[in-house]
Amino acid sequence: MAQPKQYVIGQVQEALAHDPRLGELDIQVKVVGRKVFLSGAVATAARCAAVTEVVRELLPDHEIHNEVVVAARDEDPAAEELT
Amino acid sequence: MIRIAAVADVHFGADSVGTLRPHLDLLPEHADLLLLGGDLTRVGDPDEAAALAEELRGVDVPTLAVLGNHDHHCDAAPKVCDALEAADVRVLEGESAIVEVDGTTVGVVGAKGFGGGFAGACGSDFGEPEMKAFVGHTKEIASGLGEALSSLDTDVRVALLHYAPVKDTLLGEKLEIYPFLGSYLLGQAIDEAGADLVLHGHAHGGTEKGVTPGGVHVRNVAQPVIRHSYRVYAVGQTEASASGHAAQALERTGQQA
Repeated sequence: MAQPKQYVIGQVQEALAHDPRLGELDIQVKVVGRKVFLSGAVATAARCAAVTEVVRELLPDHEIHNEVVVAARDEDPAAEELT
Repeated sequence: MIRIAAVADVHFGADSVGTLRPHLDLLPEHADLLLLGGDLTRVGDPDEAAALAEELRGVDVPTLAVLGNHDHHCDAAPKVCDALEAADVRVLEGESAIVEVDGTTVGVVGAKGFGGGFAGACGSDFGEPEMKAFVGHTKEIASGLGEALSSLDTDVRVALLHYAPVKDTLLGEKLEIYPFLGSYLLGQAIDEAGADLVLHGHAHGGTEKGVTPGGVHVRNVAQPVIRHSYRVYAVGQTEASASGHAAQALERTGQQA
């Protein structure tokens, strides 16, 4: 029998936190049937790719939808004046 | 006015090398100091901190930091601090640093902060030792934060945290995890001591702008929130100086919390 999706989500979040390729606590995980949707932001493209790898290894029979983005790092030198 | 550049949650790792420094080359033209609000590394490996330190080395403004929860994960926080301090990044925990910019003094109190939740929906140091330790850790940090802020006699006072002192800047995060994102005790300590600006990170899904119940500006500078290498905030009473350059002096005061 398939596990309730809440437990699947918990397993995915544990893997994302503890896999040595990642250490990510801020990935949102949604499970719909055999589909897993992942969203949020990570620091590098390598970690974005690793998110897919880690979840695919954990749930090889699920369809992985990695919507995680790499956090932008361009400059924004305009100052906000706080008075 | 003093121009403060700030960012948090850069989560540096070996795969981050070269991603930050190109965006800091012009920083001295736009800011007088740089504040880093914790989660500087991916998992708190000192090698990750050393990689970040190399990106920050030679940035020509005083740079101050606090650690975040990720920076503690490998149980090597002292080595993380050592790696950063080797590149002249001052790491603060329950202590303050004073920077002088063109005759204006800026006092920055740094503290990681911790969780516990917000008034009306928060934990208490009651019951099991683990619960007492959890909330007690927050109370200890909040107390040190308030004392350090109160002891500052500078023109501008800034609190640099990792965890959030108010709920405002958590908007967008799941309500269920608010107690793990911050504590009202931090905001209360800041309001009682007084400050001009509070900076924090940790809440990647939150909102940039907020205010304490006592009216102090709060900014969540987690990189996924600000979507830039840093944000700049101008604070203080003096006129902004386009040619203003950073600190003539960086003095470290206070005691470890």
